[in-house]
Amino acid sequence: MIPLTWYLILSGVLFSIGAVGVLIRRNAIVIFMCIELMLNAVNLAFVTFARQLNSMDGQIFVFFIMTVAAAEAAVGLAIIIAIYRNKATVNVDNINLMKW
Amino acid sequence: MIGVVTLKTVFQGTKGEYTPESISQIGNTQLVGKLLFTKFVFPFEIASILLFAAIIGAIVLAKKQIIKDEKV
Repeated sequence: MIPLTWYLILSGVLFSIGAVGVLIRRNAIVIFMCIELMLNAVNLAFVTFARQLNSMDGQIFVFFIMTVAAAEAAVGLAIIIAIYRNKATVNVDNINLMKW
Repeated sequence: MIGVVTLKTVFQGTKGEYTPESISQIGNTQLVGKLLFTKFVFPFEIASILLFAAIIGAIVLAKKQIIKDEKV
C-alpha cells in the first residue's frame, strides 16, 4: 500500500501549482482552473486524513467542498462571461475597474 | 508548535469507528449516502440552498446582455 504521507505530498504539490498559477498567470480562465486545482488538493488532503483517522467525516466534508466549488464555478464563469461581453478581454491586467 | 500539535492530533489522535475494512464491507458509496441523510442532513440542506442561490446568480449575471442584444 502507498504510504499516506505520499498523498499529502501530492496534495501539497497540487496546491502549490494552483497557488503559483493564480499568482503568475494573467488569463482569468486559467486563474479559475488554478483555484479549482487548489480546492481539489484540499479534497485529497481531507480524504487522506479521513483514512488516517478511520473517520468518514473527511469524506463527507469533501462532498460539501465539491458543492461549494460547483457554485463558485457557475458564478465565476458567469462573471467572466459578463466581463468579456463588456470589455472583450479576460486578461486580468485590463480588468482594473475596481482597483483602488 | 502548531505543526507538532497537528501531527500529534492527526497521527496519534482518537481513531474513528470506520476502519478501511468496515468501510469496504458496507461499501463506501452506501456509507456516504447513509451519513448524508442522517448525521449530515442539515448541512446537506444548506448545500442545496447554496446551489440554488448559485444557479440564480449565474443566470442573472449571464442573462442580462442577451436580452439587450435581442432588442438591438
